[in-house]
Parts: sequence; structure tokens; C-alpha cells
Amino acid sequence: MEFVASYDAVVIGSGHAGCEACLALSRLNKKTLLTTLNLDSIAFLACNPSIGGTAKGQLAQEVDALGGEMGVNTDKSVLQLRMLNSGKGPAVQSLRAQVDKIVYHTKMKQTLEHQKNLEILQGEVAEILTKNGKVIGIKTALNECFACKVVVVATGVYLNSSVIIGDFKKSSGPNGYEPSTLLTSSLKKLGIPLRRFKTGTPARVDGKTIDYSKFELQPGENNYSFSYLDKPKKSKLPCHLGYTSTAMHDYIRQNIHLAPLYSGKIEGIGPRYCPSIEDKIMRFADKERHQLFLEPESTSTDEVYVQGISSSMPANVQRNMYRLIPGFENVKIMRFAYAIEYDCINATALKSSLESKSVNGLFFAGQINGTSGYEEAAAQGIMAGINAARYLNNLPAVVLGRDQAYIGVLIDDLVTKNITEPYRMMTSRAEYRLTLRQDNCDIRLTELGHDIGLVTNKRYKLYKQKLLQIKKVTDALSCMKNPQQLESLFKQKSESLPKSGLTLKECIKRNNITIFDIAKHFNLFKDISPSVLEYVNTEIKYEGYIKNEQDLINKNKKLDNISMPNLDYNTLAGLRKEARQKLNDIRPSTIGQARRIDGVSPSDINVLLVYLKLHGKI
Amino acid sequence: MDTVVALATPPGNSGVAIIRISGEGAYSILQKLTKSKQKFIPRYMYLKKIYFKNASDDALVVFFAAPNSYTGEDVVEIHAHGGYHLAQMIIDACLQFGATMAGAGEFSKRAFLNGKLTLDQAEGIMDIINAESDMQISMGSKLLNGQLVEIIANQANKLTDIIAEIEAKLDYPEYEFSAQETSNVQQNLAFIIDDLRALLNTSKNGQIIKNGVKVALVGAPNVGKSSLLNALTNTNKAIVTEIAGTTRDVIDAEYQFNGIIFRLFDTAGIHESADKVEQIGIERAKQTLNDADIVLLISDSDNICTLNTPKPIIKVFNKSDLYTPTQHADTTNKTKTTNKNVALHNTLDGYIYVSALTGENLDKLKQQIFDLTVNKQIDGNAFYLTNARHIQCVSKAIELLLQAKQTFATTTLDITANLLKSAWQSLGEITGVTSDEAIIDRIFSKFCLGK
Ligand SMILES: Nc1nc2c(ncn2[C@@H]2O[C@H](COP(=O)(O)OP(=O)(O)OP(=O)(O)O)[C@@H](O)[C@H]2O)c(=O)[nH]1
Ligand SMILES: [Mg+2]
Repeated sequence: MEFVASYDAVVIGSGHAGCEACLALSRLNKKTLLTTLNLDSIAFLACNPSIGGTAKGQLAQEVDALGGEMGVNTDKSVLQLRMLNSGKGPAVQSLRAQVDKIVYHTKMKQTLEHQKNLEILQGEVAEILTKNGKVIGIKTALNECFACKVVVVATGVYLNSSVIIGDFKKSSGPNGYEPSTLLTSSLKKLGIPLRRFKTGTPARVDGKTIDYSKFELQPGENNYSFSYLDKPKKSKLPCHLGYTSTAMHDYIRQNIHLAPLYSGKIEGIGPRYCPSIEDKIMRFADKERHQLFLEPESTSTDEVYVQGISSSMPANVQRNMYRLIPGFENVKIMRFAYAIEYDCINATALKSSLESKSVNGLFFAGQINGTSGYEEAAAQGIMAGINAARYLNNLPAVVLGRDQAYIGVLIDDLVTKNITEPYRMMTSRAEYRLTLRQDNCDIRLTELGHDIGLVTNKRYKLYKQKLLQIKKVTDALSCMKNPQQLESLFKQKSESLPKSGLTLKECIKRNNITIFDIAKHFNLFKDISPSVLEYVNTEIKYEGYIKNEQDLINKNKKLDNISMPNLDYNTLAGLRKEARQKLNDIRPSTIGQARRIDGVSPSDINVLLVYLKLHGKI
Repeated sequence: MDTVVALATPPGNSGVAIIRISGEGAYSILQKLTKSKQKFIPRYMYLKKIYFKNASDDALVVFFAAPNSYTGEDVVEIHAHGGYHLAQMIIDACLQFGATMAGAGEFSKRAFLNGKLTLDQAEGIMDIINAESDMQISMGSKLLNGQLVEIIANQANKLTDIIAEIEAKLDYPEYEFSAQETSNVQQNLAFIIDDLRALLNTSKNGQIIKNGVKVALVGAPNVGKSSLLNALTNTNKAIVTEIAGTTRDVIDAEYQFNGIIFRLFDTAGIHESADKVEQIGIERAKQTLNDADIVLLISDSDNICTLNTPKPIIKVFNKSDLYTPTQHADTTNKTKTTNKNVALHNTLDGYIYVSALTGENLDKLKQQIFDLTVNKQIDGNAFYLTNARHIQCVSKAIELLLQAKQTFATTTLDITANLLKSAWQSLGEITGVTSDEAIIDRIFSKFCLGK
């Protein structure tokens, strides 16, 4: 075999996972080749023009804290920023950005082009070449071979994908892009288990044909930026909120037999959290109307994304039903909604490093692993990139804990649980979400990112400054105030006045008093950034709850620290049959992971613990 | 694990004694005991000669191969003729062949460790093993049958609905609680708290079922306390003499009544004493009084005692046989057949007249003790929380739910969600299911959410 060129790493696919993976590798000084089916689809936002949202905002900011690109690129292309759930508590607050999808693509493409150690090549990868169970290179559809020691597969929804609109079904990637038809059989040959998933996207309509007066305005906010590196951004464009109508529901019900999902045309498993409008109407028959959001796609186009109304109905049905939305009476569809089916792998075939259990040097990241969403993809991309680089350096993998990052929850779920639908991150998947807040992403991860080598000096300096500021504020808050000094503030906030003095910290523990009130009243913290104050405020107000969570983490950590030897679970008589099978399939690396496998019961865990104890492993 | 042996039937004389051997060596011990090389097919009974010391005896033997046995290990059972001595000799032979003596509950422990029993089933069995009264055994078997799991699962299930509703609001910011939904959540939480509290209240009865009722016998010297203890428990545990000050240390014995165990504590007669030993005994009597659930204050015609205690008290007048039968029926006008002065007792009200000697009215006394201590609602068909771990889990869940109910009104939703999840996990520690997938599944089956 003749190799055209030789690299340390090849990343297949330039979506959100591929971009983070190739940037991590090249920034860690690995000579990297990024291959993509189409250079114009780099960092393409195939579904909604938005980054972040509940749990996803945390993921994107964790990627940022580790030294990834998603947050920075979002700030470069932001149209609007909003803090979601601000009334529901710090554990679930998340930032969400509307971005200009054209700018998002071009800015990311530029970043990749300017990155040292990184080359970009348009082309389809046909085969992953291995020798003795190790990656040695790739072969393209044009029959060129490139040598490399690691491959990161980040092919998104492009593997053998088909687009479905009513009766129409065509082999195609998203948005008319070419699918990748050759790689699936190479993966099969390597023994990677494959499955078929489905997702969908709503129509894009001409903004000039919308009667916005029938929608509710949703303006953005101006105090935020996505990346810790950036200054707050101004929101440029609003979104709009509207509703479906009963007329629309009736019309869809009359035509339900034309829906591919109901006629059996779609076999892939779709996500429950992102159902098509026909699905919502059939499943939740008693709901009279559903919410929808209008999101601008870019300042350089009139196209508008209609969030909430994804569909795979035939074209004429789509046209008629969209017009039954109040404000859409004269709407013109520019791109039809479609469903898309694609091959993805069963990620339980991966280690927690995202490396294949069977082929050394073969990593997987993004939607190919059965996830959905840009942020989930980016999170896996950066971890696959980091671990591929560490594999090349013979260093142990970096595996984030479930108590350390949403990224840790995401990857642990993927490699442990048998995911049966596209996996979307939600705050309810995290058992320690009071710890995994967005206001402490950098505190949780930047030191680690620095050790890994991805955090730039600029970011690290900002982070150190933040730590100093936090210390300064915390020290200042231990200052004691006597009742006279507190009287006017406490009266104003209708808090009962204490008999003896209080520290400022104790004042903040009062329900109606925040650190910002203290700062104002005592004329403090003029030189401290609001995000630092916010962080300290949360840490004080929720101190008790955070401590309880920490106790729980420590308790569970004990189980996570018990590592499992390589066992044939069939020999353990006490295990139930299902547990034996699942344990043999997934081969958990710790008792903690074994515990999270569904089908493994608490009594099975006891059997394992007893076995380990008897054999002196604990 | 090493191979263990123990008598599986109660010690003492019985028709059959079953000796159980569990562990890797069970099969080879069986071969050695029977001096036979034959193959024992699992779950088949064989009539074999068992050899021990210099003797032998016929017995039925059966072998269960792992994992299809009670403990999940290889198990051998030997059904020998009853009699303490014979069983002991067979066990000695097993010990010689390499087995070790099983600790209390060891077989169940192994069954649990081998995944044969869930935690609460195992706890049920442990309760049965330790059970002495009928009621206790029935509670243990209810645990074993998963009745507790069912009750708890039912509450956990209701809680899952509430959690799912809150989580949906957290993961989908565009949805907020309406006033109606808020009051529904408050109300449903209150229902769950009430139900769990009712369950926890049964634990008071549950404790009685499990630990029995403590009854203290107190009174002046020589009134017949020790005689009553012996008569009520049908034993000879306490020494009886006509000398005042016989009992020094606390003596206990027990009887069963209506399926409940009553533990009687006989004490030194309380009076001014110069005897050092007796003084200590009197101190102990006072201590026993403090620990008791109920006090029997015993008097006779020589000594009418009074006592100041917040505990339930039954005033007992002993030695009723010393009165003539006719006069005896009329409690206001008693005359004794002895020449002692009885005028004193004409005014005595609220006494129960018994005789330790003849057993008169002892059943009536037992009934009174039962009525005053055991809640009348105790009912063999109902469920009572008896296990300390279960009581702890349920109280913790209640405490967390109360906190959640409060934070739901005053603090941010994320905190309420956390508290509810912890409460849910507490309940899950009883049922053995606390996977978060369950909540997520519920969110999707109940709510229409989409991006
Ligand atoms: N006739 C009659 N004699 C009784 C009865 N109960 C107890 N006696 C006698 O009363 C005497 C004292 O009995 P005990 O049971 O030793 O009395 P006690 O209250 O335990 O005495 P101390 O341990 O010394 O405090 C003994 O001689 C008993 O035989 C009864 O019901 N009828
Ligand atoms: Mg006595």
C-alpha cells in the first residue's frame, strides 16, 4: 500500500464534533488531517440556528472552559443571547444564543484554516485501514491512502443517510448535501455494531411573508457572552413566539395516513424530545395548541426557522398546514421540513475515552455515537481529540466524572447505557446538577484544560484572576457588621433585624438579600466582575445544599473508585442472566459504571462486590 | 467462601432434625458422611446410612447444586431422626470433614450475597429467623412476599409523577407552573407525606411486634411478685420463699398473648433497707421501672403500695385465694380466712384480684396488659413497619418531602427538585430501584415537549 502522506491523526467529518476534535489534536501539536465531504458544510448548523439552552449551554461552556472553540465561535456569530430559567435556580440556568448560521460556518472555517498543524481536504473516506487491531491509515473514495495512527470518526448523520418528505425518499445528507455511502461497510468489517436512528427538521420560510403582528416579540439580553474569553455581546435580532391552531391540528389528523411515520416508511428510531408536529398531535390529542418559535437564520438572508414544527409530511400537506398557523396565512416555504435516517454506532462498543474497545486508535465522536445536538457533538469532539492525542503520547485517557462535568455525564451514559433513541442532554440526566453549574464551568475544568495543554495563556490568566477576585470577595464578606449598620438595608428588604452583629456572608444567607444589595449598600466590590459576584452569591445562598450534594458525591465515588478486573461474568453464578449478558457486553471499568447499566440490579452489584472481596480485589 | 453447617430445625427434641451444609465442600462432605462414591442427582432424596463417631443412623439426604439452591451455593440437607444429641454428632462429623459452624442467619446472608434474595427479602427472612411470636413471623413473611416493596413502590410512583412534572419545567424553560399546577403539586405532596406518615406510625406497633412489650413487676417485699412472674410465664425462673427480700437482681421471663411477646421483669421489693445487696437490687428495680412499657403494681393484704409514674399502671391485688370464695366475689367487703386485718381493703377500688397460687384471673390480667399496651388496631392482616433500616428510610423521605414542600413555595425550583429526588432515592433504598432513567421515561410519556 502506498501512502500519499503521513499524519498523526485523521478526523473524518467537519461538523461540530469534527471541528473540536481536529482543533484539539492540532493544538496539542499533532499533525492532523481533517477530511470532509464538502468544505462548505464545515460547522454547518443543519437544524436550528442556535447554540446552548438548558444543559446544552453548560456543555458548550464546558467545552469553552477546556479550551474548545464552540463558545468563541458562537460569540463571533451571535444574533441574540438569553439566559434561560433565570427564575428557576442556579442549577438549571443556561445561556442560549441565536447565531448567524452563515457567519458561524465561515468563522469556524477560517479558524481551522489558520490553525497550525491542521490540513483540510474535501473527500469521502471509504475505508479505515488497520493492522493487528491498530489503525494505520485511511483510504478515500478516490483510492488515495493516508497514513495515520489515530482516526476520529465524526461523520454526524451522513452515514447512508436518506431524506424523507412524504412519499419522497432519497439517499441524501442534510440540506441536499451528499451522504457518505462507503464507510459503513468498513466499520462493519472492523466489528463496530451499527444501528439506524432518525431525526428531523422543520421548514424554513420567507420572513417577508410572515405577519409578525400575530406573534409575540422575544427580545434578547445584552449582559452575556458565551466564551469566558469575550466581553458581553449586544443582541441584534429578536425571536418571535406563536402557536398552532385547531384548524391546523384537524388538517393534520385528516392527512395522517400520508405521514411516513404512520405509513411505515420510516424505520429509524426518532427522539421523543423532538417529535414532529404530526407526532405531537397524535400523541397529545387533548392539547389544543402547541408553541412555536420563529428564529432568524442570518442577517444576510430572509429565511426563518420555525422551531417546533418539524415534519415529514408530503410537500403539499406541509404548505397547507403551515398556512393554518396564525400569522402564516400567506407564508412561503423556502425549504421543506424533512426527516432524515442515518447509520450510527452503538456507543457501548466504546471505552470512556471514546476509543473503540476492539480497534486501537479508532475514536468516535458526535451524532455517529447516537447523540443529537451540536453541543453534545462538540463535547465528544473535544474529548475524542484530547484522548486521541494522549493515545499518541502514550498517556492515560482523560475521563471526566459525572460530578465534574455534563460532558462526563454524557459520555458515561453513552458508553454505559443502551441508548435507544438519539440522546439529548438534559439537566435531569445529571445527578449532581447543583455542582455542575454554568457559573463554575471554568472553576471545574480550566485547570484540567491547562494541564492537558489546550488552555491558552490568555484564558489561564483570566481564570487565575477570577480565582483571586473570588478570594478577595470571600475574605471581605467575613467582615462583621453591627445591627445599626444593617438596619436601613434590612428594613428596606423587609428582613427582621438581628439582635447582635452579623457577618456580610450571614446577611447574604437571608432570603431577600443578595451580594449585589450588600455591594450597593456598603459600597463594595466596585472592581469585581458581576459574574464573580454571581458565583459567590450562589455558593453562599446554596451552601447547605451544595454540601449535601458533595457528601453524596463522596459516597458514590467510593464505588467509582473500585475498578473491575477483566472477568468472564458467565462464571459468576449469583448474577442474574440478564445482568451477566449486559456485563459481558459492556465490560464496565468500575463498580460505579456497572451500577449504572440498566438490567444490572442492586443485588447483582452485591454479587460483584462479594466476588471482588473474596478475591482480594477490594 | 468456606463451607458451613448448622441445624436448620429448632434445637430440642423433635420428630426430624434437618442439618444443612452449604458451600463448595458440601458435596464431598455428603460423600464422606455416607461413605459412598455414588452420584447424588440434585433435588433427589436418598435414604442413606450416615456414619459418625463409631455409630451410624439412617437418614434422608438431598443435594442441591449451585446456583439452584437456597443459598445459591452447593447445599446438602440431612433429614435425621430428631433428638439434640444425634444432630450434634452429625454436625461434629461435618466439622471434622472441613465444614465450619454457620453463624446466626448465615444461610440467608449467603443467599443474599449470591443474589438469591433482594435486600428486603433478606431482611424479611432475618426477621423470621429472629422471630419469636406469631405476629412477628407474619410480618417477616409479608416482607418476604414483597408487600413492603409494593407499598413503597406505590408512593415512589406518585412521587415520580411530581418529579417528572418539575423536571419538565426545568428542562423546557418555556413552560412555567400555572397556579392550578402549583396547588396540585402541593396537594399531591401532602398526600404522599400523609401516607408515609401513616406507614411510619405503624412502626410504633411494628416495634412492639418485633421487640415485645416490657412489663415491670414492682411492689413491697413478699407480696408475691416472683410467684406471679412464674405463674404468668409458666416457668420457674424466679426463686420464691416466704422470706421478705428474696429477689435481689432483676429476673426476666416472657409469655405470648394474642401473638405478641410480653417480657416480664421481676424486681426486688421496694422498701427502706439497710442491706447493701438489697439496696442495689432496689436501685435496679427503679431502673427497670424506667425502661418498662407498663407497670404491674402488686399488693397483698399486708402491703398496699402506691407509686407515682407516668407509665400505664395496673394495680394487682395478689393472694386472692386467701379470701373465702363468697366474700371474694364482692370486692367491697372482703374478709380473709386468716386472722389478719382486712378492714383496710374495703375502700380499695380499681384493683384486679388474682392468685399466683391458683391462677385465678391471670388470663384477665394478661388481657388488661394487652389492652393497655398494644394498640387495639394491631391487625394480623395489616402491614407494620418493623425493620429499623426501613423506618429510617421512610422517616428520611418524609423529612425531605416536608423540606421540599416548603422550598417549593419559597426557594428556586432546582432545590425542590433536588430534595424530591433525594426523597425518592430514600424510598428506592427500600425497593432497590433508583434509576434516573425511570424519571426521564415518565417525563416523556406524560408531557408533550419538543424543540
Ligand atoms: N396463698 C398465696 N400465697 C402466695 C401467693 N403468691 C405468693 N405467695 C407466697 O408469698 C410468699 C412470697 O412470695 P414471693 O413470690 O417470693 O414474693 P416477692 O414479692 O417476690 O418477695 P421478695 O422477692 O422478697 O420481694 C411466698 O411464701 C409465696 O408462697 C398467692 O397467690 N397465694
Ligand atoms: Mg421475689
